[in-house]
Amino acid sequence: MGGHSDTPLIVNGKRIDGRELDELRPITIEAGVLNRANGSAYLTWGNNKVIAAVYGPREVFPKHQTDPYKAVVRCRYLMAPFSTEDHGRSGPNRRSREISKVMREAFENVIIAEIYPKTAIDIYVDIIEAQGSTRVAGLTAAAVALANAGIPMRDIPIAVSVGKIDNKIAVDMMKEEDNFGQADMPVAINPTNKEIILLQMDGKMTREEFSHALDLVYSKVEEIHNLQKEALKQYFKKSSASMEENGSSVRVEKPIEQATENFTKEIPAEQQ
Amino acid sequence: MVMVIDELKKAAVKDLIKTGKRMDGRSFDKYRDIVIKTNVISAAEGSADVTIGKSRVIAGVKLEIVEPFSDRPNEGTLTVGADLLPTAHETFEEGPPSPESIELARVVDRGIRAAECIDLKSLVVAEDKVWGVYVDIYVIDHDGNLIDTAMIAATAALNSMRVPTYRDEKVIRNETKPMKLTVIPTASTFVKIGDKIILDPSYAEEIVADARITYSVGDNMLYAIQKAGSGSFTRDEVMSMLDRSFEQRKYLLSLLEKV
Amino acid sequence: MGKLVAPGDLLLDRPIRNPYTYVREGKTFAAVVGMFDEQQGKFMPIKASYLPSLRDSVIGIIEDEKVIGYGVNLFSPYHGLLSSKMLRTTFNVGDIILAEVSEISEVKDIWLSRPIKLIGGDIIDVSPTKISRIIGKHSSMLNILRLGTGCDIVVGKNGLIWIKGDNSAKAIDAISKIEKEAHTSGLTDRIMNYLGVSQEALDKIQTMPPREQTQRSVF
Repeated sequence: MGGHSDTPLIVNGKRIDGRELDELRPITIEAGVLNRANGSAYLTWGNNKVIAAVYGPREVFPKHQTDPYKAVVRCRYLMAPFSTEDHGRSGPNRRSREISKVMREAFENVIIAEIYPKTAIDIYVDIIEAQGSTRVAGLTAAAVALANAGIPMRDIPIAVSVGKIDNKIAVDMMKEEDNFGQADMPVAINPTNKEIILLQMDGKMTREEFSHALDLVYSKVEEIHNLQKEALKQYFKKSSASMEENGSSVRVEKPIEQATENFTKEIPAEQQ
Repeated sequence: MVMVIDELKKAAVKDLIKTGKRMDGRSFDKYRDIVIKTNVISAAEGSADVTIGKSRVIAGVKLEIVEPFSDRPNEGTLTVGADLLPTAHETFEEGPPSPESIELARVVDRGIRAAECIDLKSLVVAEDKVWGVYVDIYVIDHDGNLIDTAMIAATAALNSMRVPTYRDEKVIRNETKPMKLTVIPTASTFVKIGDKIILDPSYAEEIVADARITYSVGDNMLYAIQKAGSGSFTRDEVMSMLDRSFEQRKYLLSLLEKV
Repeated sequence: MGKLVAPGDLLLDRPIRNPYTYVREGKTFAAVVGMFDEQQGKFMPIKASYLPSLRDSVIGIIEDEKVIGYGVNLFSPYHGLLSSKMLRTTFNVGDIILAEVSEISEVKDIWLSRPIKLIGGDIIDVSPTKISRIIGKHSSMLNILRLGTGCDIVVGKNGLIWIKGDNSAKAIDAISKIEKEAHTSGLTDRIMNYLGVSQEALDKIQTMPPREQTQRSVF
């Protein structure tokens, strides 16, 4: 935020990637991309690439985090070392810890945690390529992963960023706009009741600019939400297609071999 | 023991708020008593000891000669840290910084940085040598609303900062010049309990709240917002709290300018 | 048939109780992705973790020995417990059992009773929300599977299914098909065709007294 650059961010009414002020970068979402996770999604947003995975509800480790009345929701947002122009260090840092916190709180709003007490619902958001507004891309992807996992939720939240560049309010900040713009504001909203579940802002905005920024955010809710639902629909279609095309959807596990002496003794041999 | 009492308090606080009242009798738009003392730490270049009600934060500002950030070679640097001391609350533990302490530091940092209230350009002393401004926030007592308390402490400490002299490649700490902030950002924190929104939550009000939000503002300018908690806000509530923050700014500035 | 719904979609203008839906302002909304058949008033979640109910038949694997008995892995977020008090047999870690949920404690321990060891065979894992479709009305689908494959098949409400027989691969195949097409109509007929089971043979089994049809009578 507030870096210094001589290059203008808006030229002839268009941004440096050719977008209008109220235009989103292209977004693609695919649900159910991982095999082991209970739910997952792969999302691209402009050049951002995000993998979101959900495990749960599952047993809580460490045990002391268990809540007897509801599932504990945990969230980890992380940027891969190769995701940014300069090589980053592996592992969480202060920024990613803060983002993980606000993301978790947003999901705690929609997840109906009382249905699975004494369990954990773990959300993992990995940014594998970062190009501006990664936390909103991550949240939008994680919402799809949660629905894909069958976690009960009141809504599938969407997230989008809005900001101020060259004194104009614009939606969906790309990296250069994030770095050299005058304000950056990530927001997450529940499409059903239009309430705000994540809101951060950093920069300089007047009251009017702030109000305009909120308008812009609300105008994009439906578009993003439809993409999320479409991804879930496509996954459903794919996994319901006929057997011959896709192979078995069930996981086969062989039980541990039993000693043969056990064979006849335990059960009455009554044939169908 | 203490936890049981907090649980009982929670229900009482909630019920009271529903009727439009608070445990300590305040209105929904009133701060608890705010006391600001500056120059409390002689070893620091700036310092402040601030209480809001029973919450207490000491902020210290130290200046060191450092290399500038590579993307801002003609400016001093600013670094904000925060520690939630185990002395402040029985739930604070020793160990790596918790997400809450990280959040506190980063929220105060953004409020100050976005306001561009420190004339960092005036902190260059030589080529590749600038003053690095280190603001450290020490939370020593927690009774709710640590962010506003920390913001007042940090800005009061910065506003009473004295910059040492750098001569012949040496720092001379007893030759100082005062440096004031170009603008004093103020922060106001609200929590939502049920459908009621109240300013400056006490600890009991904070733990009962569904959501919390902090606005850092200047003169007709919004610098930073941080929402926390799993509750939600409507668009109208978000705009209304911004207006209330601008209102509170007048009061907070009057306190800070007196110091 | 029905339409695919997602969390937050409105289902009904009146409140109903269902762990996979929620009520707001007197209306019912979906909480998970599922198929909603408005005419039949049925909501079938695509995927959800198992939520135990009393008297459910479940399949699990003995995973450890405790002072009170055994811990049972039910492949769900909750653990099964088998008290050794009323047991006539001993179990070993790794044994597969069919048991009944006799009590759900306040801390969500699932107490099991009437365990039967399942020897040999394969275990497969389907979404618990598809289990009732795999059993079918009056166990009709389950009987079709047994008749059509000649396998012993035991179904756990927690989503585990035990299959034993020479044609187990065929049974797994058919179950997989049911899981994918659980939301469609005419599935029973399609599976009957797929496995070559005649209506006659099915009717014969269906008219047998219920006791003969239960899973326990497989043994």
